[in-house]
Amino acid sequence: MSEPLLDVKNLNVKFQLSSGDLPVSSDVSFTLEHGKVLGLIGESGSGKTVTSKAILRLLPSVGTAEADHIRFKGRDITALTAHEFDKLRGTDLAMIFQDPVGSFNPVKTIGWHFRAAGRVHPEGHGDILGDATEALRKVDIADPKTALGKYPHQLSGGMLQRCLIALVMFSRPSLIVADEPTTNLDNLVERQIIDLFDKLRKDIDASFIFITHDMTIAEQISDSIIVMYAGQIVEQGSAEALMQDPRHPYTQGLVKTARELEGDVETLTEISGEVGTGDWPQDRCRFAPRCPLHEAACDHAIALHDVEGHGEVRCIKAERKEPAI
Amino acid sequence: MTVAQQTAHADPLLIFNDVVVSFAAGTGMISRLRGLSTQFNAVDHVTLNVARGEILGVVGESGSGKTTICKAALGLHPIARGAVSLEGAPLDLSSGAMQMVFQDPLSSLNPRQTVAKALSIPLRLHGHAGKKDIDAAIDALLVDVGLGSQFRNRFPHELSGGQLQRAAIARALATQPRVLFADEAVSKLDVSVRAQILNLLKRLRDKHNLTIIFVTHDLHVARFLCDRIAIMYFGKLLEVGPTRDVYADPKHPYTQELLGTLDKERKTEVSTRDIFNPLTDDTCACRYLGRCPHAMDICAKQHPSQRQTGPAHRTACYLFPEDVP
Repeated sequence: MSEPLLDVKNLNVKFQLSSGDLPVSSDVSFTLEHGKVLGLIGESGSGKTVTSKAILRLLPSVGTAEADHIRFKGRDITALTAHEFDKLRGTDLAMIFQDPVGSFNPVKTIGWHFRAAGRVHPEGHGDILGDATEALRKVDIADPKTALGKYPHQLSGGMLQRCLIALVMFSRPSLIVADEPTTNLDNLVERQIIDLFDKLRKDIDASFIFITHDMTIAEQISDSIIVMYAGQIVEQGSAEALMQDPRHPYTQGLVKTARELEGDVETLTEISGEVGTGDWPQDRCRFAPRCPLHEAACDHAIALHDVEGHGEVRCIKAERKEPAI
Repeated sequence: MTVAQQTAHADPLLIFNDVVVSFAAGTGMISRLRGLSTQFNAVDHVTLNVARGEILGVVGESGSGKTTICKAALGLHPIARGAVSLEGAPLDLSSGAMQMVFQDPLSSLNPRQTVAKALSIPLRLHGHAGKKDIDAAIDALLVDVGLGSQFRNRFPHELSGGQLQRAAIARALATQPRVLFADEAVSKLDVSVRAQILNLLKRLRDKHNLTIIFVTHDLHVARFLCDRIAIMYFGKLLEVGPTRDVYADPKHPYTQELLGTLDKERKTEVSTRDIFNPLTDDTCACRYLGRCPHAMDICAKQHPSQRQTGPAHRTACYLFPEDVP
């Protein structure tokens, strides 16, 4: 087995606030193989966006990240200087944000953005116009030449999101982090974009980290899934194992509700309580206050551990047969 | 069209009769100088009956007029043509008979008022007098929404997302409304809390025989919660019918495309053709014309009227024969 494309080991992110340090994501470790899609699931504040922004060094100024290592193509990118990292980000490591409108310069045409991306690419782009046209065609823009001459406000949200994806593809990155790229879009456009991602991952040799709060979307698009809760990974494994037979009570609740909403039920299964923000206990299971299986043994720090055939689970009862929720 | 044809329920509570809500577009100076100022109908001749005790889902994409029609009923937008009536009488907006719950609970509550204060104002305005009476009513409301009286003296910032939405629902219920409008009331909540609020809405309907108009773009949520579904598209009501019938056998090509997004097998293709533009496209034609696989000559001439396509199921499409008078 060759080396994974991305190998993150013990990533911790803290926000320095006037009230003291706030840990927002702790002990995050995972690997991503070439050409695979990793679905990163969690609710708001669970640390999913912060984790990916830490990898791309896009944290706000109050945020600091520490990791044993973050290896990208075998090279530890935590050791790179800011200048070296700048050359990597946007070319080999790219990010697609939730809001396509905010990702474009409003007073420049779509074509300008492609020319700007072409200029910074280390290998250079011989034929920027030709490559840009090709990239736009790949994302199903019917008339790429016209689209290149348009300003962002002249395009619909779906068109703009597709242009953004084309712009990212144009730089031929090896890893693309897509942060809730369909959340602001309508149903039909969402489906277009999900189908597009599905097509592109077969077409091009890139890996994706796909951040979402939607179990159904994650299941459709991912090879493997990570579920985060209160700043920690609570379960990770292949998409199939995790959706068919989730082992952490939180994952079980999410999967069950998602399945119920696809089916026909009178009442939905509830996960009682709420996650709350920040200020999580460091030395006990963070899901314990909401967990039906909670017992005294849960009041210790719980490590992620391997469960055979199921990847890793952060629960002392992960081996049990019957679901908790 | 008689009331009986439109709904199987014998007891229509709220009637939208040929309602039009217009907005002015192109009011900027340049548009005015170039003669581009225009009006467009955000809600365009919508006729719809809502029965007592039913949950009606209003489903559509952004810009479909689903929020506007609710706001028009509540007097938050002027109605240009047609009328809304409650129990056969013109609306008395000060009666508190209709209330709204908004998408973002934090911005809909006053940050400097405690929960008890927020609840006491509508209670006092609607017939409760004396501190004891109001206190008892506040406690009853809090219990009703699953909060309990320990939340009386909390400020909005001390509550989590789900608790805030419960408080907002309690405030809406304070005037003992007959109709509750819920505009994307769960879409900003964390996934693990969504099920709690959806179950709560169902429980409140059963307990108080409350009529709920639930605006959403989430097709799974609509199917779980709603008895009937109204599909809107750029101001037009395209289809309305019992939830089971609409999901099992959607009649309008748009509904078929929209519900096709739920299909995991990807049997239906989603078209990437551009959507209707209310400012440049012909507003006389069927709004779905540009994307419709069944487009006929007549579709370009006039938007189709509503036709009976099943028991209590009506569809605005020329594919179906006109009602026999």
